[in-house]
Amino acid sequence: MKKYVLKVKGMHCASCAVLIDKLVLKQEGVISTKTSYGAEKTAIEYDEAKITLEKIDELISKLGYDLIRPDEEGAYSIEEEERKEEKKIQEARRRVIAALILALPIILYYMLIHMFNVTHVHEIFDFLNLSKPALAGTGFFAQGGYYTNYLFWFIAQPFKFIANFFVDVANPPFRIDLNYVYWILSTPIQFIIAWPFYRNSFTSIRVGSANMDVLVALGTSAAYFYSAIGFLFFNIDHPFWESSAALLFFILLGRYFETRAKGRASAAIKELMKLEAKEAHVIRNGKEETLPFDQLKVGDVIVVRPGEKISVDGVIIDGKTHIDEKVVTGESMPVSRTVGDQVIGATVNQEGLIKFKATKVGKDTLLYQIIRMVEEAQAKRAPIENLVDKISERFVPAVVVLSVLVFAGWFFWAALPFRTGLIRTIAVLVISCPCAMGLATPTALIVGIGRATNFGIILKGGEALEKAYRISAVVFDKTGTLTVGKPVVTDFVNVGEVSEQDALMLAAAAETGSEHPLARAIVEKGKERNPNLPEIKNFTAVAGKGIKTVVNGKEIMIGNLKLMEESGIDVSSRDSTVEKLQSEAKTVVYMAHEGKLQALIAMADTLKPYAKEAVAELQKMNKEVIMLTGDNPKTAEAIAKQVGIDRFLAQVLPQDKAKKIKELQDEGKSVAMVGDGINDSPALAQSNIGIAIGSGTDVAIEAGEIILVKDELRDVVTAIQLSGKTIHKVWQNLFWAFIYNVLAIPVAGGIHLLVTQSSFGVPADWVLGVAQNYGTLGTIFFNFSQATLRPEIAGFAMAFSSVSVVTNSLMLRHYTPPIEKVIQKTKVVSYERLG
Amino acid sequence: MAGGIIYRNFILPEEYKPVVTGEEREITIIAKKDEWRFIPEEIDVNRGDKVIMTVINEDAYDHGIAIDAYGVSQRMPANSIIKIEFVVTQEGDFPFYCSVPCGEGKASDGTYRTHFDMIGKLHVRSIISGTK
Repeated sequence: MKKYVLKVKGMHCASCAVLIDKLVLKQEGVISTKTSYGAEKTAIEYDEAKITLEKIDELISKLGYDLIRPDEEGAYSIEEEERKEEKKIQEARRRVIAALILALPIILYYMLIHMFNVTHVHEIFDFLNLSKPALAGTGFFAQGGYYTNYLFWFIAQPFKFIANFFVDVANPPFRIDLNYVYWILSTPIQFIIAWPFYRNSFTSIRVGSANMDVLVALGTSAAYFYSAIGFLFFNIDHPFWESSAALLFFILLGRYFETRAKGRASAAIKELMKLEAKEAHVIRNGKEETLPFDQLKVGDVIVVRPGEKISVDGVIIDGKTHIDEKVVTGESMPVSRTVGDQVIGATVNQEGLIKFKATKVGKDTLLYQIIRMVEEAQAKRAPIENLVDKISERFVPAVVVLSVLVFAGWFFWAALPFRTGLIRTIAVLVISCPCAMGLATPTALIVGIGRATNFGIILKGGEALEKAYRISAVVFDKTGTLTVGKPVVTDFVNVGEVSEQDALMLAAAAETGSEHPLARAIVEKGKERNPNLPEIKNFTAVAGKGIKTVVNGKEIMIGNLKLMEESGIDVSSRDSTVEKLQSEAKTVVYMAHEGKLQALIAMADTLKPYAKEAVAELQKMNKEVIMLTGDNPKTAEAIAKQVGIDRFLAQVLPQDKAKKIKELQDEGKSVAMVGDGINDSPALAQSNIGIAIGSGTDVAIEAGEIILVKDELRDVVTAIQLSGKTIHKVWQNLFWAFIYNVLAIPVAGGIHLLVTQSSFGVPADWVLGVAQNYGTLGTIFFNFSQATLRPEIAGFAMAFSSVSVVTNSLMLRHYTPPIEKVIQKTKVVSYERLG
Repeated sequence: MAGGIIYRNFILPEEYKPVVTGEEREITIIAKKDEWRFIPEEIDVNRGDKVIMTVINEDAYDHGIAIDAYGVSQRMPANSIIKIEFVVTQEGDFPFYCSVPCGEGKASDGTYRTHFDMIGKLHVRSIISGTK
């Protein structure tokens, strides 16, 4: 049994993933496949006794895709990958721009004419000879008509000027129908720019499913061919180029938004790779050599100097140091490591020189395990079952069947001429073109995402928005997320003879000799009061215990209990204070002045500003708030209490964080994970939605789907509120787009005539009743009930519905989530205090 | 499809079957300059007639003529005459209307008329009861 998560190249739509899964699963020996179009990955599980990976690769290649086998992995680089993605976005952009340039004249002309019922001008010279319009009548439509005519006149002038050089425009020697111009403009849109729709429909039909692309291709082709053939050969009254041009433009725009919003899945892994040490100093044959990372072997002895990265996982055999493991474990304080202790690749050696023996190299290291976890989580995550796709699965075949029925109904059953049936069938196909439906989601999402950016929230893709509002539990990582992640002095309990001010100054000065984070916290505290600290003499660091030095001629000692005991200083009288401080999850050190206890210095990681408010707000929104930490339960409880969280999971090892999230998910919760460290990235990927704090590491930011740039915890609330509103908009859009189709399709097909006419061409009694009893409204109803939707009106309505969906989405730009108002207010308050 | 063809040719009740009598009927419809009106607005024909319609557009802009039921949907270019032929195979009242937005304005009788007023009715009489 073998399991792989592999890259698949060449997929161009969601149907491709289905196609691959379907075909590969049919093979004997393949147990499961799960292909994700978004991540461009497939997770394959197969029995290697029955089928080889090469065979699977061959199959997938036959379909036109490229599977990257593990032995081929070197063949693609991350840079190439990025370039490709960039190219994809660029291509989508180019398509949109090209479509816009070609479609704009058509859209403007037809939309305005239909909206304001302006006289059609179908001939170039008539257009050029348009006279300056006069405003006739009042009201919206008269005004609109006036401005439309004015615009046409304005556009015509430069053309007229140029044309006058060649022909006498006022008395043209020949006539050119404007429809030729539209025909020339819309043909490249239909067949070149919109080619992917044809290609995707073909793939989709091959899979035996129908996606929206099929309808787009059908509807626009119907409109295009009806217009083109009708215009060229049958002198039809009304070619409707704008349907195919405008619809394709709008759909391409929607697709472009989607591509851009999808986010880059591979970037997280790239960031992780960057972390690894590129080379290492290895002792071989008694000599020190510098070797690249990939040439290291298990058992190599590696030397690491202060400030250098540890290259691979191993065990220390010589030396003593503090190692900053924050990037991997999330532990905020450097940990003391000595002979026999484990070291982890990609962490940073801070103080001493150490030698360690490599125990895991290459792809076995912890860093690589994390990379793999992120990779798997991204590939395995079920592709978001887009509602639109779900609807389309039924909607598309239904429309196709219906359009055939409409034709059959009119031609066979009502026994009317062929053309009657054809026109109505085309009207049905055009009106059901899922343009507005396709736009409903991406436009609202892109506006929502844009709005979020204003508040300092980066949302990677619409999926993030969709999921954010559905979550039921929010898990916070402790260190670096709820807390600052850096110790600060919280209490300075002065018990000696020197004044508190001087004692603090002396302590701070003494600690300038040390690089330990606790020491830095004391220095920082001292500098707040007294920026110019005195010089120190005879500095000695007692490893694992503390420091000794001389400041202003006085001997100062700062360290733990051991240091005090060794120096014969009795501190037992202060035990109760120390215990109390420790129970608050604080680290306590002692300061001695001239051999006597001077002060107790307590330090702790502090809560970030507004952490409490953010938690309270989330609880108010009925989200369960949970804290996750590697700390011991006591410390965890203290912090949880401070911030107001009831449930916490303590002593969670970095590699188990993702597992804990999974457990919460198994409880039936939709979990959001808020974190910042690399150690959080598997958890971020596993969670339903990963929220990374901007101050965190790059990897976490890449693995998260929502990034809070401002390091402001209340933005978690903002993100959820904004996503709720955005999704609300999406639903609104979908509702209108859908109800519109549901109502318009029968009218386009003339199906409503079954109800509104008693027999063919004779209005039903109830319709006549309505017409007589409701005055003007009745007349309008009567006229509508007896007519069918003509294809060009269907096309116009379709394009118009797209515009209204876009407008509705744009209204989101003015939305401010309630919590954001609070945040802005608190900012002003603190500003005033400063003043 | 095949079922449909069979249905149309064999099963369709006699009275619904498309009727073609071969009789020709010439009709002229005029859209007078700046009237936003078809003249005449009511046309009577017998079921089965082959209608040969001459449509004259006297305006300096385009109109269109559409009869949904018979799939008629033709453009009437400015200052020109078009000819349409179709067979009225089914009886009933069918609106014919202008299908190209043609603006609005004051007609010669002083009323204000628009594109939407350009509508007329085609009565197709049954040949059995219509011989009155």
